[in-house]
Amino acid sequence: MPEVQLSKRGRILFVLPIFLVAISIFYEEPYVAVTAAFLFSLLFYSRFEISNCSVEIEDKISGDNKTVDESFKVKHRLKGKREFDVVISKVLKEEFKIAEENEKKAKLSTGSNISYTVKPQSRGYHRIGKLRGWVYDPLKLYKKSIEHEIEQEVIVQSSKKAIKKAKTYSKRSYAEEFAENPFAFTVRSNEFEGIREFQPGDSLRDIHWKSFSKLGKLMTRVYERVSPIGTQIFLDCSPSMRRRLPDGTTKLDHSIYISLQVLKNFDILGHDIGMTAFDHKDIIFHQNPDSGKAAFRRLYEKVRDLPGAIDSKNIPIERYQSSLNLDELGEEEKHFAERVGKFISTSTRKHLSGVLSAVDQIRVRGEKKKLIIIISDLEMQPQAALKAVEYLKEMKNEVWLIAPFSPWYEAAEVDQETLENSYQEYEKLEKILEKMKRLGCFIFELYPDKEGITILEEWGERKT
Amino acid sequence: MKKEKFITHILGSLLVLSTIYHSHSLYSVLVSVPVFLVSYSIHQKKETLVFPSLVLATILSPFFISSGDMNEIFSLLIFSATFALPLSLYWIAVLLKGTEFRWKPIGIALSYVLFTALLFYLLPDFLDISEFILSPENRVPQILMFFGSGMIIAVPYNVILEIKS
Repeated sequence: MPEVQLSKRGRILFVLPIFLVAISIFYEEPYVAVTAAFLFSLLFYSRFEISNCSVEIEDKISGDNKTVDESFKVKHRLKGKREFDVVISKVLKEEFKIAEENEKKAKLSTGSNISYTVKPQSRGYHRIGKLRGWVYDPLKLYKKSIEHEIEQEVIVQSSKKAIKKAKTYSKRSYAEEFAENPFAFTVRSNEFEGIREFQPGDSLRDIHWKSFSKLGKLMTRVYERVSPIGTQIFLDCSPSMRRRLPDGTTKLDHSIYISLQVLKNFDILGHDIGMTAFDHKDIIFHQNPDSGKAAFRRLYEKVRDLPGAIDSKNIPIERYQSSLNLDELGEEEKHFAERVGKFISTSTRKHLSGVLSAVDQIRVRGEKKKLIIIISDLEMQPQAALKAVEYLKEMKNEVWLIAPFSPWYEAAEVDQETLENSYQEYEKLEKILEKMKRLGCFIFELYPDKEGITILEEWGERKT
Repeated sequence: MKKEKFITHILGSLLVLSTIYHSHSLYSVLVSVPVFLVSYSIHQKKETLVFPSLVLATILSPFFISSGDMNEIFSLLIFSATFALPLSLYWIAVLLKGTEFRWKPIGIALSYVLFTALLFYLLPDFLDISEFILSPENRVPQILMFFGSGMIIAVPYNVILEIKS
């Protein structure tokens, strides 16, 4: 129900008749009190009018594609015969920031427009907020609170800066500088191209002995060129990754930024690129490795649809303790798991673990010898992630794990106790990380300022 | 000159004349100063000055009102019609800008005054204290009674209007 209040003017007019009554008593002049009654009656004039006051607000949001940190204009047009006071800085939700500091307050009257520039802070589907203001009666003695929800949903894509950076960093020379051997993850095609004369340095395995017997000199089989292997990113979109951080972003936002950079790097280095996004329950999307600009563009558009930030209060860190443990399946679940397959990974059969479902996608397609980069904080279902690494290794894939470590991201937000709990949680992960390392998985720790190229750089250093 | 502005200036002049008429002193001409200030601010579109000038004019004018008697209904009606009602209308004319003038809320406001007056005359009669209250010697209880009647009526008015909204 809208709140109705006396405005400043109304309060003055409320006091004024009382003051006149005091004068009336002082001068012993009753007609002054009569004047006071007439003036007091104006409050009922306004009270009657305010109940009929309403405003209609039309919203106009410019442009189609919004990206993080790129401002766009929001316009409102006021239809109605009343004046409307609104504080713009209070309109916006956490996902947005007002670009111009000066435009904090605005007074709107009939047919007037208001516009302000808004800067999205995080990726996802968002509603901008609510226009909260006061509408006044014609005498401006009373005011009524009005709330207008901006209905239109805004789709915010990842920062264009990320793409620009990715493009800069993924110039071949740049990438090669950091990645010691960019073609380290390559596979030789079995397609036979022809035979040529043996050159020193050619593999003895490739000598074509039949030609040798015919021609009497060593000949070498030539295959189609050695090609880089496909790169697939497994992106974890579990609630823990989507928890809103103090700056309004999420670990998922940064992970997407990193993914795009890494994918662009690998794309430039000639690898096919693909992505599988999953949450703690299921796969969100799966895109097979593909080459070319279109592949990158497709992935860039796909990540736009990934779920946005969620309130940190809804997922306390303690909740992650009930992580998935495959060894703790009940009898019924075990029976079910045996029948349906080894990738059923949670204690409730309704929910598959996302990471294992992603592995299942690879297995079903019979894809092998790929570079799989898992980006996950491992806070939800770390056991499943370990299993996933195991299975991927069984399928002869190269596996990297990029882990956004929570305390680095949340140090400014959480209290000491929560931070300690978080560290303890991370310590529990140490064993799992150790097992992953033993399986031959490269582990990279991710922190807020890290760029995608530094991962390649780290990898280059480790290789040497 | 716009119609609204014209009405405001006319009402202002009427108020000054009325104050002079209802007072027995030429000092009442002083009321013309804040009234002129109101007209000037409206004309110069100095929004911030309008309301304070209006309040000043309202405070100043009743200082000069004298010789009122609640027993003389005719005199009271003349006063209401020539001063109190124009003052209320003056407030509306000054504060109302560019919006349509509506009779219904004015009717609500005037009915409040009417019911206050009714209660003021009926209640003492019911309590059998009419003579005491209406006597010119008991001005202070008379004013307090009128003020009390206004407050008693204000409550149901406010409730009704709140229900309406």
